[in-house]
Amino acid sequence: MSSPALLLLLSSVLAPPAQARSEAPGLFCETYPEAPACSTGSVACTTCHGLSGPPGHNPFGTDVREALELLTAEEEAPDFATWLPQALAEVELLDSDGDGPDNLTEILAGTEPGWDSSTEPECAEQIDTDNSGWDLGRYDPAFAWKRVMLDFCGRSPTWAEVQEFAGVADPEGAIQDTLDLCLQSPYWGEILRELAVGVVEPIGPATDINPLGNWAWDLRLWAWVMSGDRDAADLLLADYFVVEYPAGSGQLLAVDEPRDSSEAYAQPLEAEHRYGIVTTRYALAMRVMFSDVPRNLASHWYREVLGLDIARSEGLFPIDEEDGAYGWPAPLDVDDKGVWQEDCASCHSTLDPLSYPWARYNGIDLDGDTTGLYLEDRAVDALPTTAGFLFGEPVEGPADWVDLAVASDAFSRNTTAIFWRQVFRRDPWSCEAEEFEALWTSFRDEGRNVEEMLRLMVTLDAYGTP
Amino acid sequence: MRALLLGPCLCLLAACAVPDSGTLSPGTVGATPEDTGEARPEEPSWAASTRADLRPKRWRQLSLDLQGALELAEDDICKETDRFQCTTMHVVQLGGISEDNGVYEPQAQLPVTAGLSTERVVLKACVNRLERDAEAETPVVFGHLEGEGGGFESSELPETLLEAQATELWRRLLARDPSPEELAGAAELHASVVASGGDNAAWAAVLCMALGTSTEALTY
Repeated sequence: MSSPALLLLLSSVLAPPAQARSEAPGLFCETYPEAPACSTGSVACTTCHGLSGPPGHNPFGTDVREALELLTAEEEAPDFATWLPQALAEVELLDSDGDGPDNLTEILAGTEPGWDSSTEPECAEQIDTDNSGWDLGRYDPAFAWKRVMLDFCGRSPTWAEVQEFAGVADPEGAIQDTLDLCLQSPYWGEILRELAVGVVEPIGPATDINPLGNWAWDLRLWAWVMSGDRDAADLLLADYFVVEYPAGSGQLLAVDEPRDSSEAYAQPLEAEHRYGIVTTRYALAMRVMFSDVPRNLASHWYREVLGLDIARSEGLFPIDEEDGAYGWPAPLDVDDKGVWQEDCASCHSTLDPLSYPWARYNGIDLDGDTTGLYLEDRAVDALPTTAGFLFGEPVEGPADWVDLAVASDAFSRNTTAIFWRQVFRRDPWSCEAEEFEALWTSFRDEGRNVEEMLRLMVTLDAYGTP
Repeated sequence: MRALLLGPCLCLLAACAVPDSGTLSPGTVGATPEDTGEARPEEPSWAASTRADLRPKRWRQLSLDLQGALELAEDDICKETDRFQCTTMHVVQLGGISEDNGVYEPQAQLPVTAGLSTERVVLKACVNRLERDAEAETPVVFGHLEGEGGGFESSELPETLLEAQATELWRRLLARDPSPEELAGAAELHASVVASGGDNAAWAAVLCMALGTSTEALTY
């Protein structure tokens, strides 16, 4: 259930079509704070819109739009914030998608009020199972094992291996053994690197003498913490670096400090100020650049590590720092950018407090050698302290920020989702939602160990049912 | 050996029968049964999965499978202009990323040229293996063609050799034995290739490509 979708849907009704209203997600969550999507601050566009996104609507969005049209028929300039909650209330008892439960029930249950899950053909019951090749409709170890070979070793089993697997006494054990071997394969190492590219988004030459940072360090750190039964929280907590040793071998090794002068240039930050992938030279140079308020740094990692994309109105927890000085939640305008204006504040009231804790980290220094360093007096005029907010909760500085981040459901869900999408090439279907939740909560509760999570993933019906 | 190379390519261009796995019946490439007046093949007798949850192999998986099935080094699978790895040149079409070009994640949908790139890689790998085997004292994959009564450049191939060669390809590319119907289809394909002027090598290359580009081979 996505507020961005609601927002855009409603804006198309109440305002000129081109004027998107970013407050819809917040209004939706104000109306339904107990909705599961609102507890994480992330509401999908498909709550109201079609799969292709705005301007098309799904049945729930259509009902909301029509309710708005009726409610505001006599209004010359209807106020969006006033009428949206009323429109939502008007359609609560409807069953827009016709799948049985009414809209309110679906909103509170975290299912989609605009999508009939019974029309998701992949989730239909497997009636006819007469297939000589695979055991349709239930977990088939041979099918799962073949997938493990391809997903984690990168190749199909050979004819001889297939014959051998058919005769093993403990196929589930064989699957786990195969997975463990594959997780050590060069193929999986390349996949980890490829996934890291999606997170780091590298630009420029990967060399330690690049003044804007060598992103290879960031890729290595990501691959390191996502492998070897390590705690993925080190992605944000690490005060160490990861190098390739021996050079060119593909083997990774954690080191406490740079080993020579070129590495020291590449990663100049003192250990006490390091917070994993957030504070590498590349991250600081490319995401902070010259800004007093490092909004891009904060929003990038909010999106890539916590799965919350502010540009899509996800993860909005508005902080009114003027305490009611405006008629809407507004951030402090610390760098005089006009972020307290209503349309800007809808995002900046989350984004700016998210950014304050990182204000002492320098971006690019064109005149000196402070690129990527922690400077005690940086931006102190604009931000006397580094106190800020994450998930609407106060944080005193970067240490608080990362501690809260890695302990969050958002971190575990997003990390799990990255690997789910790599393996399944899609998000979970509605009939897989329960297994996906069990997977990421187990990941969260069992040490945030990616390899352990993958060991569980390959046992799921979602994975092994042909 | 260039003749061997040209054989399958000409055969394909000349519309030899190129069956996919399991539906081996002669016909024009790309033509539907309605086009040719043939009856549409019967629906399979086995149940279909409601999940239909197949994903295409990406470039590394495609390359590793061909390396294993055809016992070729990565460098010997396919190169454009004999210099650049096809899997590098076509990496985005084959489900990869290109960080140098800012493509940080695989495309959500298969690009329209994915099929062309895949066929290119598989055909080249099959022909490369065939070329090596034709010149080798001990062929690795296509040795059954050289049995008594056969030969790479011959159009004669005894049934036992044909079935042995087909089974070899099924096992290597699909990790299973062919069904009797599939073997019959392979024989029909041989007759079709020969009728089009091709030889045993051309048949073997086309069969290799047909199996290597089948849905069964390319998805999992």
